[in-house]
Amino acid sequence: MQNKTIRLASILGKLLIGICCLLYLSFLIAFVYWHFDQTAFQLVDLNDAFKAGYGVNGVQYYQHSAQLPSNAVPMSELSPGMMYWLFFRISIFVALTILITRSALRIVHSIGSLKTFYQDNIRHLRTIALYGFIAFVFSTFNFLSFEGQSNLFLKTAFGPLVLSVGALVLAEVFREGKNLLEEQNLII
Amino acid sequence: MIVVNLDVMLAKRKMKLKELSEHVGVTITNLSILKTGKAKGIRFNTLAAICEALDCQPGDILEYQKSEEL
Repeated sequence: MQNKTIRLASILGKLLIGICCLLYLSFLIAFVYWHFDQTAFQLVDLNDAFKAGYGVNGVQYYQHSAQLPSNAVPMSELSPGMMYWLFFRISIFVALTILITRSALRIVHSIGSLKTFYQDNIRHLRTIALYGFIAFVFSTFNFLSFEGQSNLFLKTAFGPLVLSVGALVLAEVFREGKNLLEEQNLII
Repeated sequence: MIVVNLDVMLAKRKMKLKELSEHVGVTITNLSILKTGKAKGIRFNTLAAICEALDCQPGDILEYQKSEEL
């Protein structure tokens, strides 16, 4: 690939996939360890992780139990059901992020090899739009059942929705480009 | 509509598509698209090269036919 922008986009995409994999792996290790020793996570506050929005909004670690805020949701006190829900939600977001990035990388590589207006790219963009919509649906809600109280969180996550609409618009642009290219090839 | 009479001129000159392709420098695939009437257009330099190779005028290759109204 000669284009610097394309090379940079490719590197950034791969970096994002790498970061996602590392974060997921670290959470997976913590999740497995939680089954054996729940007390090890007494100082991990998951209050923000149960709020609605794309991905995990935040996991906070405190050095002393005195630092824990009054509304803290310590990981050690979570029910297995809530832990599985959190794990499932994180898995969905990580998978969606990786799939979207992979599709975007395929488009970037295709542009790099001067095959921009091809059917595959239109397909990839439509797939990104679908993933974006699924991410939007999953981002809108979250719930937490803790210490006998159940809370439902709702939020309109515009980011994934904008991504979805943008990908659909780009898919149409690419489709028009493909038609023009085909027409151009039929001029002898 | 524009009708391409390339096959007629090729037959008159007893020339094959491959020979024309070599003379004109256009691939057989593209000449075939032109011959079968699937082409959307023809560039002036391609037309000039075909006319030179077949020793004819553009009118011998391209013909206008009135579309029949239904």
